[in-house]
Amino acid sequence: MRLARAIPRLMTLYAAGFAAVVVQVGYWQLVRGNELRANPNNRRSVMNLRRGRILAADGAELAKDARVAGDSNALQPRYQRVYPQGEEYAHLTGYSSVKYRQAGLEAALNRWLLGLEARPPEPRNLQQVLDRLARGPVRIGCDVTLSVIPAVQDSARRALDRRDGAIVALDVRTGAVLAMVDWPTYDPNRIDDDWTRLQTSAKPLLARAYQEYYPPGSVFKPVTAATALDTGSAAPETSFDCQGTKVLAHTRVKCFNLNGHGPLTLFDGVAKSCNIVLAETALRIGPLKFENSVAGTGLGEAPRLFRPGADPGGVVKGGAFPRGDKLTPAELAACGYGQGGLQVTPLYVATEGQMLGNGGVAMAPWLVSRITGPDGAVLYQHPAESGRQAFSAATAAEVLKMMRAVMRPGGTAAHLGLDGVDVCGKTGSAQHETGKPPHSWFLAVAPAEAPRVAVAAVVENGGYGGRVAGPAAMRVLRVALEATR
Amino acid sequence: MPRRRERALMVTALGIGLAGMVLVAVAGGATLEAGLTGRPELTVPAIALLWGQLALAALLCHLVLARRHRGADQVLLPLSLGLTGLGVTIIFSLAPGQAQKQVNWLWVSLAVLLLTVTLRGDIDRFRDYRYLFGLLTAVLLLMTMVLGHESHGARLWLKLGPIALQPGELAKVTLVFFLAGYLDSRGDMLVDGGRRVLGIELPDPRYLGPVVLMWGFGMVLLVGLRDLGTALLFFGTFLSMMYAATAQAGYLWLGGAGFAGGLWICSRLFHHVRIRLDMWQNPWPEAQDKGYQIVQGLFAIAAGGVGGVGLGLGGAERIPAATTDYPFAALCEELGLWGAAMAVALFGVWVYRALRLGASHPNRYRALLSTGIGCLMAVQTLVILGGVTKLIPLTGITLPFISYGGSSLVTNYLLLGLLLRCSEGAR
Repeated sequence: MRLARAIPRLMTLYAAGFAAVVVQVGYWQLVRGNELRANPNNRRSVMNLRRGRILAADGAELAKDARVAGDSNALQPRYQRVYPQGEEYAHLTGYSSVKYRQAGLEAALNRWLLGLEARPPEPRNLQQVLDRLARGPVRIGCDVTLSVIPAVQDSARRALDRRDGAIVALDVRTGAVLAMVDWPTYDPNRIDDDWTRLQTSAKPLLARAYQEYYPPGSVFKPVTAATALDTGSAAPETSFDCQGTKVLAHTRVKCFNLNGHGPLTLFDGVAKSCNIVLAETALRIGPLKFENSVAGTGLGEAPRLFRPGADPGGVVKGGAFPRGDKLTPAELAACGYGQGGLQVTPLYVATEGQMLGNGGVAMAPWLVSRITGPDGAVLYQHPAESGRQAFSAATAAEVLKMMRAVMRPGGTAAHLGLDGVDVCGKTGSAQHETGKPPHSWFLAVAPAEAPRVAVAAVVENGGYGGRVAGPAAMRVLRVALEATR
Repeated sequence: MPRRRERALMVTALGIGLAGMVLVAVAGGATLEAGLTGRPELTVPAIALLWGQLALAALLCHLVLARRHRGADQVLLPLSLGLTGLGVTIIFSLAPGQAQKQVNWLWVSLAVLLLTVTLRGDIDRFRDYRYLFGLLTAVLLLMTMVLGHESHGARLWLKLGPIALQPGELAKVTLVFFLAGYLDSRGDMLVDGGRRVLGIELPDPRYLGPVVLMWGFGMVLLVGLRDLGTALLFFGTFLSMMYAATAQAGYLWLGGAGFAGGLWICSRLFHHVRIRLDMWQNPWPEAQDKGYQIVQGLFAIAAGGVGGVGLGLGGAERIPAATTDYPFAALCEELGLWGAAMAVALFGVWVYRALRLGASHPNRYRALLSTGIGCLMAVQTLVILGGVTKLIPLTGITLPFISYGGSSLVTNYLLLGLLLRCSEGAR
């Protein structure tokens, strides 16, 4: 009978289908399981796993998981993210929300914070052995320790004082971020409730320190000067003449001192922040060498601030400037004093001070100093890096001398200084929109003889650099020098 | 007392159901009094009531069968009730409010089952009405096509006042009757044609008509109902039965290739079919949009691991249509790989019992009927389980006995009743 012959084969076919379903379930659970659990679209990872903490350099908790209040479910506790410091560290930690997933460091180090990069702890007693057999290995998030020092961070928050802008402090020798604040910001504890309110033109979710571009204005002049020295296009004592305005490359360049500085050297040009001197210097360097040198400072690259893994975590390129055919002589002259098409992040300006203070060696800025597993084992330690020689040591020392003169009588920031410490500085007042006050910039590196700290500050529409951003940067510098003593 | 085996299995099935519901309730924070958790469904009395109904229904069925049908299969009823208990547990975990509704439908289903097994008369008489059944199948499906109420991109529902029915579910039953009758009377002619083409002994063209007709009908279903699932289910059942009756594997290959070709053409012509195929191949870029259901389902499966997170502790309720289309993903999450394998095994045993009956029954019509029911159950289970696990494109059909939904549950118990009826007089 045909039925009796065909049915066993049909049954075999179905059995193969059923077996394939079970194998496929096993594939998703065992082979792809970890990957799917860490998928940012998977909200389970936010709710049911205890994420690791984010700690400051001194161990202060910046982010931690707390049991959801009133959750009676004892078998599988649910967690919510708590940021004890509120908005102060918002742009350092980012946020982790059930609704809006993760951003910033929380996103970049998601797999570590979820414990997926760590070996699960070995079961210690019978209960844990049974649990492991029943549910698979327990995942507990890894703790991430940052290089940020709370005292410096606090001083930076107070120095910025709720003015739109950003302050970044770096360790000159290593590139470690000591402080990073910006305004406006948001409270990561309230991200779910505030979300729609945060979608404003003021962009509080944007981390101005590493996600926003500003024209640098005069804080870029040390880079032009260093390039001139490195390429041999000019020496500190090369003389120029400033009559307030000058037509360079068929374009009228104006100095902020409309009466003119008179005859002066490149050294004085930096100290007195003369646009005409630096514009002419840039023209002497020429587009090709200028472009190469500026690219060598890392302007065109996004620093891997949250270093482990490949996720950039939203950090943008250090800056942008016209390249190739777009770098016309007129553009080149303008870029020489930090205007034209040149755009940079506050983090880049801090890196500029860092490399000049570190003998010309640029250390890519970093934020994460250590990751520890649930058992306390150190899974990641920031390695000693060799950095990149952007300028020669001699050039860096010469430019630092110019920046030191900025803080001396005759310089643009002669009124600023710290007791007992020789500070190198550079003011900047960046034109950005006609009719609006310029962005106020300041870059400080200290101590002059053996720099430890670089601070960059920008206050949007703040006006004159030495008046607004300067004092703010000096406050942070004082605290940072104490903290890194 | 006869049917001891059924009684023993029934106690096991009900025990599993009870344990499951208690675990879900405990995980949800069950208390003795209502009001403490703010979820009145999650109290011990509520669970006792729910389970009590299940047990009472089971006992009733067992007693009726023991009195009237001593020779009927003793495994199928406990198996079906066990699956239903598992389903109610999962529904209870996903949407506590729907559990009682499902139990209400279980009462209706069991009434239909009892009616099917107790009605006097001979089931063999239906053989004479085979073309009527064929017509009825077409009418039921065309009715849905024309009058159906569209939801979720598919037209499956027929609204009769406040009640929404799925005529497609009843059409499954009439299809099996039609195919069994047709193959019983014409099956041999399909084989004895003489000419072999592509490894198939082609019958006389006169008898091949229905095969081509069925293929065309499957394509019309796909286009008209916009429902890949129903088309796949009907066509798969048809091919399985053709193969069972003729033992010619060529029908499976040719039919499968024909369906795949039709599917490919449909995917060129119809946007919704192409989206289904695209979301099968790579749902990840659309994880928040078109691929949301399948991606969230895979997350649920992955969350389970080997042992599962525990009943009532899963997060599968965020999957759209979780209780109707995706209870299996919830099951994978809460009971893990072991639980999923056990559930699949239960379906396997169900199909095995049905097909074994088909292979051994001395009455050819009843054998074909049993085979058809077994094939229908197997194809339906495989289509939805394969879809949920991304083995094949996802189609929104129900998982027999487990999914929430009245039409589906009643139909499954009707099929069970017919199978029990057929099993009498088996060797």
